[in-house]
Amino acid sequence: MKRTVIYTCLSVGLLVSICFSLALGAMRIPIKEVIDTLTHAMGFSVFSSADHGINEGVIMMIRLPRTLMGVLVGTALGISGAAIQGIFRNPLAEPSLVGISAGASLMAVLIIAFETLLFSSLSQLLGYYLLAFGAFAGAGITAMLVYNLSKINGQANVSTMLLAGIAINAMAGALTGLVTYLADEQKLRSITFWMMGSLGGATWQNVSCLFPFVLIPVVGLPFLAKGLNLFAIGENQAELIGLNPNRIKILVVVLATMAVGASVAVSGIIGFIGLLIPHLTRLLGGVDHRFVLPVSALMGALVLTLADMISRLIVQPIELPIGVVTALMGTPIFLYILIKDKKKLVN
Amino acid sequence: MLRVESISYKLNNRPLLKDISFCIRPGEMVALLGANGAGKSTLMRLLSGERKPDSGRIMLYGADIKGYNRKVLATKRAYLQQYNPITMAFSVKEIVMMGRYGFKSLSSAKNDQLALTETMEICGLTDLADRSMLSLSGGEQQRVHLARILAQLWDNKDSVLLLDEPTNNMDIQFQHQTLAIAAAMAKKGYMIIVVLHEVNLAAQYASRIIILKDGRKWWDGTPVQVLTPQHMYTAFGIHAQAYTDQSSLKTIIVPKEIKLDAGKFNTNLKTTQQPVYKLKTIETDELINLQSVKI
Repeated sequence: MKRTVIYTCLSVGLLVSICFSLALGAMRIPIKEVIDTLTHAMGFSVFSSADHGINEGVIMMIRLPRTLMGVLVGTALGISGAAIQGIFRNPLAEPSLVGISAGASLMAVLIIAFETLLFSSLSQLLGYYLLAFGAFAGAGITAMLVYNLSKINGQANVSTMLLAGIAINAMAGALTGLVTYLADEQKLRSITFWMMGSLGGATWQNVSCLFPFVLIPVVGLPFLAKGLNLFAIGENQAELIGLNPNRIKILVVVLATMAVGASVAVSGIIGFIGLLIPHLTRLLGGVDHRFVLPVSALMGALVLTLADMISRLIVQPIELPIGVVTALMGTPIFLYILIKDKKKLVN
Repeated sequence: MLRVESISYKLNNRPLLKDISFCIRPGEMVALLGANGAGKSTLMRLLSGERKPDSGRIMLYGADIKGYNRKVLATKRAYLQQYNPITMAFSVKEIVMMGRYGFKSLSSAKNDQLALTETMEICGLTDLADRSMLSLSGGEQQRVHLARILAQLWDNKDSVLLLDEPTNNMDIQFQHQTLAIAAAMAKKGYMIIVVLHEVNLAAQYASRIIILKDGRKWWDGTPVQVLTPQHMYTAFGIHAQAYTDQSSLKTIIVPKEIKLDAGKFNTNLKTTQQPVYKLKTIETDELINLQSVKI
């Protein structure tokens, strides 16, 4: 009952925030026109089918892809954050903290830097896919590396996990720096973009490239929810209840890093969403992954849409990197968990 | 039935278990006793499949456990570990229900609910059902995990229940309650193996006791046969007296107090307070030197 209410509220909230996200910005467009344009684009019309000219162009060419990208990236980061925390058995495991995003961005940067050298003949669209796959591979490798580094007696150890994250972040940072130093000016601009995190590069092309990478995990991960629940009592015990922990682990890491990798490929590192969203979800309705995973996806989409709106509106007409906004929202939560669980984290 | 055939296990070239064999029949409750480091927990880990024996094999109903399908084995064996740290705020009910996850295809929702209610009730968890695991004390958490593994095997009495120090952190009432549950499960036909530190709990509830020492099986028999002052001294290095309870005819072990001469250790500090006992009344052989107490 309570959960139905949560699902409904979040869905309605998401739809409303999408409409506002389309309406607000450097150029304000009335909500009525937004809805009209959207329905018109879908093939039928609610209000008068007057031609809105430039407004329609702004919505269809700029704001809609950007908003959709925000929704997809938020969904991806929310659900994969929840899944990765389940595997690490720890509410502090977060893609950008434990180095998974850094691994993804390093791969992306390497691909950009050596693009012309290796794949000069690739088309633009194939280039996006390549970037997404590369980032996915980078994310997957780092996730496995950190997990195995932090595992002691079959259980992930928090301090080793966070330290491994620091090490990987530093190494990826250094390598990225090296590549940046060697890169020419045009590449430099696109590399800087990875480090800041932004939805500004949204086009229909990369939104359509991102879509399958988010859809597969969103459909697949909830099927692994029970397995993730069992991870909470330890890999050994999960195995004794009849689960194959290695299979679950690999599936979760593949699906979660697929989502993280692809969203890093299109929007750079957007930190703390993967930490903030599952935490809020658990506050709302408990820690059962059958609830946490889908709700984190919804809430991630909602929060990132709002964050993107804030980043566009707060210092108009300039726009803040969205990573700044999410870090401002996420770090207090991170500190709060640290303070609350200080004793337990020492173990 | 469970048959352990001559298993040995080494860790970093240090032999932890040497040539252990025994056999457990349905309805038996076996207590494993032994000093720290005798190999009790290692034996449990091998039985639970967490570690593999270097030689020998473990047979469950005539088949090597290595050959069992994971899901089938989950219906025949459950293992309560010594430490079960939880970092996610699952509720008590959710954790107990996890014991039933493996059965989803085999058992009806009604059956699951029944197993949940019954196990929670006998483990005294009914009032805690919706509490978060993180808010419970160590003993309460241990009871939740007990309920979870009971739920796992609730409808299959042809199974083995491995309990590694189940009474850890529990208050005295639940120490007894836990072992009473185990004994009652044995009456139903379950095979129970329980590691205990408290000798008298083993004497009261177990139908059979195995004493390990330095990785070997030293004694195996009924509590009355095994629990003697001589065995207590050999296995644990304590002087103890064994009495027989007149009504239940069970053995009660009463260890003798170990007395240390406060003057003989931490010699930097002067013993300002006289020991409660008077030195001259103690015979010298009762004064055990700290170094001779093996840990």
